[in-house]
Amino acid sequence: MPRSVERFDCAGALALLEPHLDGELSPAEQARLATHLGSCPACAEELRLAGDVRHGLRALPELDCPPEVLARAFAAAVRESAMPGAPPAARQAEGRQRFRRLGRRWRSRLEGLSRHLPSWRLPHLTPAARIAAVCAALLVAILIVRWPHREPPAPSPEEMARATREARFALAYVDQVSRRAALRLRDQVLERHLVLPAARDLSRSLQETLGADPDLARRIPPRSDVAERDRS
Amino acid sequence: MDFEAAVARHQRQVYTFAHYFLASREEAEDVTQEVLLRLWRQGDRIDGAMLGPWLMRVTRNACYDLLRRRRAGGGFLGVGSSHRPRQEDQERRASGAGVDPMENLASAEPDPEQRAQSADFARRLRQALQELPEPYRSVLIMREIEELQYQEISEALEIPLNTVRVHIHRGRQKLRDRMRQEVPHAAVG
Repeated sequence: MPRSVERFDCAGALALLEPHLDGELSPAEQARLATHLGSCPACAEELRLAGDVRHGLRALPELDCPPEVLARAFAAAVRESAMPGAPPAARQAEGRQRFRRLGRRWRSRLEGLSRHLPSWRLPHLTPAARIAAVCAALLVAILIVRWPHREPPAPSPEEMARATREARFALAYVDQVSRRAALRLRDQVLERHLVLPAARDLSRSLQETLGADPDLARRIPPRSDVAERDRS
Repeated sequence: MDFEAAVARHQRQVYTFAHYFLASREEAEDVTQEVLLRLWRQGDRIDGAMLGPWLMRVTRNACYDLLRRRRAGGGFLGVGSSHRPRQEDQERRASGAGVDPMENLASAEPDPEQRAQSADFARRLRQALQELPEPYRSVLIMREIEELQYQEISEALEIPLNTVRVHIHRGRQKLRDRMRQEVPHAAVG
Protein backbone atom coordinates (compact mmCIF):
# COMPACT_ATOMS: atom_id res chain seq x y z
CA MET A 1 0.00 0.00 0.00
CA PRO A 2 1.64 3.29 -1.00
CA ARG A 3 2.42 5.50 1.93
CA SER A 4 3.07 8.72 0.06
CA VAL A 5 0.05 10.08 -1.70
CA GLU A 6 -0.17 13.23 -3.70
CA ARG A 7 -3.52 14.28 -2.25
CA PHE A 8 -3.40 13.48 1.41
CA ASP A 9 -7.06 12.71 1.97
CA CYS A 10 -8.76 10.32 4.43
CA ALA A 11 -7.82 7.26 2.37
CA GLY A 12 -4.20 8.27 2.54
CA ALA A 13 -4.43 8.88 6.26
CA LEU A 14 -6.11 5.54 6.90
CA ALA A 15 -3.37 3.80 4.96
CA LEU A 16 -0.86 5.27 7.37
CA LEU A 17 -2.67 4.29 10.56
CA GLU A 18 -1.13 0.87 10.97
CA PRO A 19 2.40 1.88 9.98
CA HIS A 20 1.99 4.69 12.49
CA LEU A 21 1.01 2.21 15.21
CA ASP A 22 3.91 -0.04 14.19
CA GLY A 23 6.28 2.92 14.43
CA GLU A 24 7.25 2.59 10.80
CA LEU A 25 6.47 6.12 9.55
CA SER A 26 9.11 8.57 8.53
CA PRO A 27 9.08 11.95 10.33
CA ALA A 28 7.61 13.58 7.23
CA GLU A 29 4.78 11.07 7.00
CA GLN A 30 4.21 11.36 10.71
CA ALA A 31 3.87 15.13 10.41
CA ARG A 32 1.43 14.90 7.49
CA LEU A 33 -0.68 12.34 9.35
CA ALA A 34 -0.76 14.50 12.45
CA THR A 35 -1.86 17.48 10.43
CA HIS A 36 -4.67 15.51 8.83
CA LEU A 37 -5.84 14.00 12.10
CA GLY A 38 -6.00 17.45 13.64
CA SER A 39 -8.56 18.50 11.07
CA CYS A 40 -10.47 15.21 10.57
CA PRO A 41 -12.36 13.83 13.62
CA ALA A 42 -13.41 10.68 11.73
CA CYS A 43 -9.83 9.66 11.01
CA ALA A 44 -8.81 10.59 14.55
CA GLU A 45 -11.57 8.33 15.87
CA GLU A 46 -10.40 5.54 13.54
CA LEU A 47 -6.87 5.89 14.83
CA ARG A 48 -8.15 5.77 18.38
CA LEU A 49 -10.11 2.57 17.68
CA ALA A 50 -7.13 1.01 15.89
CA GLY A 51 -4.95 1.81 18.88
CA ASP A 52 -7.48 0.37 21.31
CA VAL A 53 -7.82 -2.82 19.29
CA ARG A 54 -4.07 -3.18 19.03
CA HIS A 55 -3.63 -2.54 22.73
CA GLY A 56 -6.51 -4.85 23.62
CA LEU A 57 -5.11 -7.72 21.58
CA ARG A 58 -1.63 -7.28 22.96
CA ALA A 59 -3.03 -7.23 26.48
CA LEU A 60 -4.50 -10.71 26.00
CA PRO A 61 -2.13 -12.98 27.90
CA GLU A 62 -0.18 -15.88 26.54
CA LEU A 63 -1.33 -18.95 28.40
CA ASP A 64 0.61 -21.83 29.89
CA CYS A 65 -0.69 -25.27 29.11
CA PRO A 66 -2.01 -26.93 32.30
CA PRO A 67 0.59 -29.33 33.74
CA GLU A 68 -1.82 -32.23 33.74
CA VAL A 69 -2.19 -31.92 29.97
CA LEU A 70 1.59 -32.00 29.56
CA ALA A 71 1.73 -35.01 31.88
CA ARG A 72 -0.91 -36.76 29.77
CA ALA A 73 1.06 -36.01 26.62
CA PHE A 74 4.28 -37.37 28.16
CA ALA A 75 2.47 -40.47 29.37
CA ALA A 76 0.95 -41.05 25.95
CA ALA A 77 4.37 -40.66 24.34
CA VAL A 78 5.90 -43.15 26.76
CA ARG A 79 3.01 -45.56 26.22
CA GLU A 80 3.40 -45.27 22.49
CA SER A 81 7.13 -45.86 22.61
CA ALA A 82 6.55 -49.05 24.61
CA MET A 83 4.10 -50.47 22.09
CA PRO A 84 5.32 -53.24 19.79
CA GLY A 85 5.27 -52.72 16.08
CA ALA A 86 6.75 -49.85 14.16
CA PRO A 87 8.45 -47.57 16.67
CA PRO A 88 8.12 -43.83 16.34
CA ALA A 89 10.91 -41.77 14.92
CA ALA A 90 12.05 -40.62 18.34
CA ARG A 91 12.33 -44.18 19.54
CA GLN A 92 14.12 -45.26 16.39
CA ALA A 93 16.60 -42.43 16.77
CA GLU A 94 17.11 -43.25 20.41
CA GLY A 95 17.65 -46.89 19.47
CA ARG A 96 20.18 -45.91 16.83
CA GLN A 97 22.07 -43.73 19.30
CA ARG A 98 22.07 -46.48 21.89
CA PHE A 99 23.31 -48.94 19.28
CA ARG A 100 26.10 -46.58 18.27
CA ARG A 101 27.13 -46.06 21.90
CA LEU A 102 27.13 -49.81 22.43
CA GLY A 103 29.17 -50.27 19.27
CA ARG A 104 31.76 -47.72 20.36
CA ARG A 105 32.03 -49.28 23.80
CA TRP A 106 32.51 -52.78 22.47
CA ARG A 107 34.92 -51.63 19.82
CA SER A 108 37.20 -50.07 22.43
CA ARG A 109 36.96 -53.21 24.57
CA LEU A 110 37.80 -55.47 21.67
CA GLU A 111 40.70 -53.29 20.66
CA GLY A 112 42.03 -53.53 24.21
CA LEU A 113 41.53 -57.25 24.15
CA SER A 114 43.31 -57.62 20.82
CA ARG A 115 46.35 -55.84 22.16
CA HIS A 116 46.66 -58.48 24.88
CA LEU A 117 46.47 -61.42 22.53
CA PRO A 118 49.74 -63.42 22.47
CA SER A 119 51.66 -62.30 19.46
CA TRP A 120 53.08 -65.74 18.69
CA ARG A 121 49.61 -67.05 17.97
CA LEU A 122 48.52 -64.30 15.55
CA PRO A 123 51.85 -63.05 14.32
CA HIS A 124 50.84 -61.51 10.99
CA LEU A 125 47.38 -60.07 11.78
CA THR A 126 46.59 -56.36 11.76
CA PRO A 127 44.50 -54.91 14.64
CA ALA A 128 41.39 -54.98 12.45
CA ALA A 129 41.94 -58.60 11.61
CA ARG A 130 42.49 -59.35 15.28
CA ILE A 131 39.20 -57.69 16.13
CA ALA A 132 37.48 -59.69 13.43
CA ALA A 133 39.02 -62.86 14.76
CA VAL A 134 37.93 -62.07 18.30
CA CYS A 135 34.40 -61.24 17.05
CA ALA A 136 34.23 -64.49 15.15
CA ALA A 137 35.37 -66.41 18.20
CA LEU A 138 32.82 -64.64 20.36
CA LEU A 139 30.09 -65.30 17.83
CA VAL A 140 30.94 -69.00 17.74
CA ALA A 141 30.99 -69.12 21.53
CA ILE A 142 27.63 -67.39 21.75
CA LEU A 143 26.13 -69.71 19.18
CA ILE A 144 27.43 -72.73 21.02
CA VAL A 145 26.19 -71.54 24.38
CA ARG A 146 22.86 -70.19 23.20
CA TRP A 147 21.93 -72.67 20.50
CA PRO A 148 19.98 -75.21 22.56
CA HIS A 149 18.26 -72.46 24.61
CA ARG A 150 17.47 -70.12 21.83
CA GLU A 151 14.12 -68.50 22.46
CA PRO A 152 11.56 -68.48 19.70
CA PRO A 153 10.79 -65.11 18.16
CA ALA A 154 8.04 -63.13 19.83
CA PRO A 155 4.65 -63.82 18.26
CA SER A 156 3.08 -61.17 16.11
CA PRO A 157 -0.23 -59.51 17.19
CA GLU A 158 -2.08 -61.55 14.56
CA GLU A 159 -0.62 -64.77 15.93
CA MET A 160 -1.54 -63.71 19.45
CA ALA A 161 -5.10 -62.94 18.37
CA ARG A 162 -5.42 -66.30 16.61
CA ALA A 163 -3.99 -68.16 19.60
CA THR A 164 -6.41 -66.33 21.89
CA ARG A 165 -9.35 -67.32 19.69
CA GLU A 166 -8.23 -70.94 19.62
CA ALA A 167 -7.73 -71.00 23.38
CA ARG A 168 -11.20 -69.57 23.93
CA PHE A 169 -12.70 -72.16 21.59
CA ALA A 170 -10.83 -74.94 23.37
CA LEU A 171 -12.01 -73.74 26.77
CA ALA A 172 -15.59 -73.53 25.56
CA TYR A 173 -15.29 -77.04 24.15
CA VAL A 174 -13.88 -78.35 27.43
CA ASP A 175 -16.72 -76.67 29.28
CA GLN A 176 -19.30 -78.27 27.03
CA VAL A 177 -17.74 -81.69 27.37
CA SER A 178 -17.59 -81.29 31.13
CA ARG A 179 -21.25 -80.40 31.29
CA ARG A 180 -22.20 -83.43 29.21
CA ALA A 181 -20.02 -85.68 31.37
CA ALA A 182 -21.63 -84.30 34.51
CA LEU A 183 -25.11 -84.88 33.13
CA ARG A 184 -24.19 -88.37 32.07
CA LEU A 185 -22.73 -89.08 35.48
CA ARG A 186 -25.91 -87.90 37.12
CA ASP A 187 -28.23 -89.80 34.78
CA GLN A 188 -26.35 -93.02 34.36
CA VAL A 189 -24.21 -93.53 37.41
CA LEU A 190 -26.08 -91.87 40.23
CA GLU A 191 -29.60 -92.54 39.09
CA ARG A 192 -29.08 -96.02 37.72
CA HIS A 193 -26.63 -97.37 40.24
CA LEU A 194 -27.49 -95.46 43.38
CA VAL A 195 -30.88 -93.80 43.38
CA LEU A 196 -32.92 -96.49 41.67
CA PRO A 197 -31.51 -99.43 43.68
CA ALA A 198 -32.00 -97.46 46.88
CA ALA A 199 -35.57 -96.66 45.89
CA ARG A 200 -36.23 -100.27 45.04
CA ASP A 201 -34.84 -101.39 48.39
CA LEU A 202 -36.88 -98.80 50.19
CA SER A 203 -40.02 -99.78 48.33
CA ARG A 204 -39.46 -103.44 49.04
CA SER A 205 -38.90 -102.85 52.73
CA LEU A 206 -42.00 -100.65 52.88
CA GLN A 207 -44.09 -103.28 51.22
CA GLU A 208 -42.84 -105.85 53.65
CA THR A 209 -43.61 -103.58 56.58
CA LEU A 210 -47.03 -102.65 55.26
CA GLY A 211 -47.86 -106.25 54.51
CA ALA A 212 -47.14 -107.10 58.10
CA ASP A 213 -49.27 -104.25 59.49
CA PRO A 214 -52.64 -103.68 57.60
CA ASP A 215 -53.60 -100.66 59.81
CA LEU A 216 -50.47 -98.79 58.86
CA ALA A 217 -51.15 -99.46 55.18
CA ARG A 218 -54.54 -97.81 55.46
CA ARG A 219 -53.11 -94.69 57.11
CA ILE A 220 -50.52 -94.05 54.35
CA PRO A 221 -52.01 -92.31 51.27
CA PRO A 222 -51.59 -93.96 47.87
CA ARG A 223 -48.58 -92.96 45.73
CA SER A 224 -50.61 -90.96 43.17
CA ASP A 225 -51.93 -88.67 45.95
CA VAL A 226 -48.42 -87.98 47.21
CA ALA A 227 -47.25 -87.06 43.69
CA GLU A 228 -50.25 -84.74 43.20
CA ARG A 229 -49.52 -82.98 46.49
CA ASP A 230 -45.83 -82.53 45.60
CA ARG A 231 -46.73 -80.96 42.29
CA SER A 232 -49.15 -78.50 43.87
CA MET B 1 15.72 -33.47 19.51
CA ASP B 2 15.21 -33.25 23.23
CA PHE B 3 11.48 -33.78 23.49
CA GLU B 4 11.08 -32.38 26.98
CA ALA B 5 13.07 -29.25 26.20
CA ALA B 6 11.05 -28.69 23.03
CA VAL B 7 7.80 -29.09 24.95
CA ALA B 8 8.96 -26.68 27.64
CA ARG B 9 9.89 -24.10 25.04
CA HIS B 10 6.86 -24.33 22.76
CA GLN B 11 3.91 -25.52 24.86
CA ARG B 12 2.80 -21.97 25.64
CA GLN B 13 2.76 -20.95 22.00
CA VAL B 14 0.77 -24.03 20.99
CA TYR B 15 -1.74 -23.79 23.81
CA THR B 16 -2.22 -20.04 23.45
CA PHE B 17 -2.98 -20.31 19.75
CA ALA B 18 -5.41 -23.19 20.24
CA HIS B 19 -7.10 -21.43 23.14
CA TYR B 20 -7.80 -18.20 21.27
CA PHE B 21 -8.56 -19.92 18.00
CA LEU B 22 -11.09 -22.38 19.42
CA ALA B 23 -12.37 -20.28 22.31
CA SER B 24 -12.54 -23.43 24.37
CA ARG B 25 -10.18 -24.45 27.10
CA GLU B 26 -11.06 -28.14 26.89
CA GLU B 27 -10.58 -28.28 23.15
CA ALA B 28 -7.36 -26.29 23.37
CA GLU B 29 -6.06 -28.90 25.82
CA ASP B 30 -7.03 -31.70 23.45
CA VAL B 31 -5.32 -29.99 20.54
CA THR B 32 -2.18 -29.29 22.57
CA GLN B 33 -1.93 -32.89 23.64
CA GLU B 34 -2.38 -34.06 20.07
CA VAL B 35 0.25 -31.63 18.76
CA LEU B 36 2.75 -32.70 21.41
CA LEU B 37 2.21 -36.31 20.47
CA ARG B 38 2.87 -35.45 16.84
CA LEU B 39 6.02 -33.70 17.98
CA TRP B 40 7.05 -36.90 19.75
CA ARG B 41 6.41 -38.98 16.63
CA GLN B 42 7.90 -36.70 14.02
CA GLY B 43 10.14 -34.32 15.94
CA ASP B 44 13.34 -35.97 14.81
CA ARG B 45 12.57 -35.20 11.20
CA ILE B 46 12.16 -31.48 11.87
CA ASP B 47 15.07 -29.09 11.64
CA GLY B 48 15.51 -27.39 15.00
CA ALA B 49 15.25 -23.89 13.50
CA MET B 50 11.94 -24.78 11.85
CA LEU B 51 10.44 -26.42 14.90
CA GLY B 52 8.46 -23.33 15.99
CA PRO B 53 6.85 -22.71 12.59
CA TRP B 54 6.23 -26.43 12.17
CA LEU B 55 4.45 -26.57 15.52
CA MET B 56 2.31 -23.57 14.67
CA ARG B 57 1.33 -25.13 11.36
CA VAL B 58 0.49 -28.45 12.99
CA THR B 59 -1.47 -26.64 15.69
CA ARG B 60 -3.53 -24.70 13.19
CA ASN B 61 -4.23 -27.85 11.19
CA ALA B 62 -5.26 -29.66 14.36
CA CYS B 63 -7.62 -26.78 15.17
CA TYR B 64 -9.11 -27.02 11.68
CA ASP B 65 -9.61 -30.76 12.12
CA LEU B 66 -11.32 -30.20 15.42
CA LEU B 67 -13.62 -27.56 13.93
CA ARG B 68 -14.51 -29.95 11.12
CA ARG B 69 -15.32 -32.66 13.65
CA ARG B 70 -17.33 -30.16 15.65
CA ARG B 71 -19.31 -29.26 12.55
CA ALA B 72 -19.71 -32.90 11.45
CA GLY B 73 -20.99 -33.78 14.90
CA GLY B 74 -23.90 -31.39 14.46
CA GLY B 75 -22.27 -29.05 16.90
CA PHE B 76 -21.21 -25.52 16.45
CA LEU B 77 -20.11 -23.63 13.40
CA GLY B 78 -16.66 -23.86 12.00
CA VAL B 79 -13.95 -21.69 10.55
CA GLY B 80 -15.04 -18.18 9.85
CA SER B 81 -18.13 -18.29 11.99
CA SER B 82 -18.96 -17.51 15.53
CA HIS B 83 -19.54 -20.37 17.87
CA ARG B 84 -20.43 -21.04 21.45
CA PRO B 85 -17.94 -22.44 23.91
CA ARG B 86 -18.32 -26.08 24.75
CA GLN B 87 -20.72 -27.27 27.39
CA GLU B 88 -17.85 -28.41 29.63
CA ASP B 89 -16.34 -24.94 29.55
CA GLN B 90 -19.65 -23.36 30.44
CA GLU B 91 -20.12 -25.76 33.33
CA ARG B 92 -16.57 -25.25 34.53
CA ARG B 93 -17.02 -21.51 34.39
CA ALA B 94 -20.30 -21.76 36.27
CA SER B 95 -18.70 -23.87 38.97
CA GLY B 96 -15.77 -21.49 39.27
CA ALA B 97 -13.22 -24.24 38.63
CA GLY B 98 -10.27 -23.41 36.43
CA VAL B 99 -11.02 -19.76 36.11
CA ASP B 100 -9.85 -18.33 32.83
CA PRO B 101 -7.01 -15.88 33.49
CA MET B 102 -8.44 -13.62 30.83
CA GLU B 103 -11.48 -12.98 32.95
CA ASN B 104 -9.31 -10.91 35.23
CA LEU B 105 -7.55 -8.99 32.54
CA ALA B 106 -8.66 -5.60 33.62
CA SER B 107 -7.93 -6.09 37.29
CA ALA B 108 -4.91 -3.78 37.06
CA GLU B 109 -7.11 -0.80 36.24
CA PRO B 110 -7.40 1.43 39.31
CA ASP B 111 -10.86 2.85 38.66
CA PRO B 112 -13.72 0.30 38.99
CA GLU B 113 -15.68 1.90 36.17
CA GLN B 114 -12.67 1.96 33.93
CA ARG B 115 -11.93 -1.61 34.93
CA ALA B 116 -15.42 -2.70 33.97
CA GLN B 117 -15.14 -0.87 30.67
CA SER B 118 -11.81 -2.49 29.92
CA ALA B 119 -13.11 -5.94 30.82
CA ASP B 120 -16.13 -5.38 28.61
CA PHE B 121 -13.93 -4.17 25.78
CA ALA B 122 -11.64 -7.19 26.13
CA ARG B 123 -14.60 -9.54 26.11
CA ARG B 124 -16.04 -7.96 22.96
CA LEU B 125 -12.63 -8.00 21.35
CA ARG B 126 -12.22 -11.69 21.97
CA GLN B 127 -15.69 -12.30 20.64
CA ALA B 128 -14.90 -10.29 17.51
CA LEU B 129 -11.64 -12.17 17.08
CA GLN B 130 -13.43 -15.49 17.24
CA GLU B 131 -15.88 -14.34 14.60
CA LEU B 132 -13.13 -13.39 12.17
CA PRO B 133 -12.89 -15.68 9.16
CA GLU B 134 -9.73 -17.49 8.25
CA PRO B 135 -6.91 -16.82 7.61
CA TYR B 136 -7.30 -13.48 9.39
CA ARG B 137 -7.99 -15.06 12.76
CA SER B 138 -4.82 -17.17 12.62
CA VAL B 139 -2.53 -14.38 11.50
CA LEU B 140 -3.89 -11.92 14.03
CA ILE B 141 -3.49 -14.38 16.89
CA MET B 142 0.07 -15.08 15.81
CA ARG B 143 0.95 -11.46 15.21
CA GLU B 144 -0.89 -9.57 17.92
CA ILE B 145 -1.18 -12.01 20.79
CA GLU B 146 1.86 -14.23 20.30
CA GLU B 147 3.83 -11.38 18.74
CA LEU B 148 5.46 -13.50 16.05
CA GLN B 149 7.45 -11.77 13.34
CA TYR B 150 6.02 -11.59 9.83
CA GLN B 151 8.71 -13.99 8.67
CA GLU B 152 7.79 -16.52 11.34
CA ILE B 153 4.12 -16.34 10.36
CA SER B 154 5.10 -16.75 6.74
CA GLU B 155 7.06 -19.89 7.56
CA ALA B 156 4.36 -21.26 9.83
CA LEU B 157 1.54 -20.85 7.33
CA GLU B 158 3.73 -21.46 4.29
CA ILE B 159 2.56 -18.32 2.53
CA PRO B 160 4.65 -15.46 1.07
CA LEU B 161 5.68 -12.60 3.30
CA ASN B 162 3.64 -10.06 1.35
CA THR B 163 0.56 -12.24 1.71
CA VAL B 164 1.10 -12.24 5.45
CA ARG B 165 1.22 -8.43 5.44
CA VAL B 166 -1.98 -8.24 3.41
CA HIS B 167 -3.76 -10.75 5.66
CA ILE B 168 -2.74 -8.86 8.78
CA HIS B 169 -3.81 -5.52 7.32
CA ARG B 170 -7.20 -6.85 6.24
CA GLY B 171 -7.63 -8.75 9.47
CA ARG B 172 -7.10 -5.60 11.50
CA GLN B 173 -9.55 -3.73 9.31
CA LYS B 174 -12.19 -6.42 9.68
CA LEU B 175 -11.64 -6.52 13.41
CA ARG B 176 -12.07 -2.75 13.65
CA ASP B 177 -15.24 -2.95 11.55
CA ARG B 178 -16.67 -5.59 13.86
CA MET B 179 -15.73 -3.62 16.94
CA ARG B 180 -17.28 -0.52 15.45
CA GLN B 181 -20.54 -2.40 14.83
CA GLU B 182 -20.41 -4.04 18.20
CA VAL B 183 -19.55 -0.90 20.16
CA PRO B 184 -20.36 2.27 18.20
CA HIS B 185 -17.96 4.23 20.36
CA ALA B 186 -15.65 1.39 21.16
CA ALA B 187 -12.68 3.31 22.30
CA VAL B 188 -11.75 3.02 25.91
CA GLY B 189 -10.15 6.00 27.42
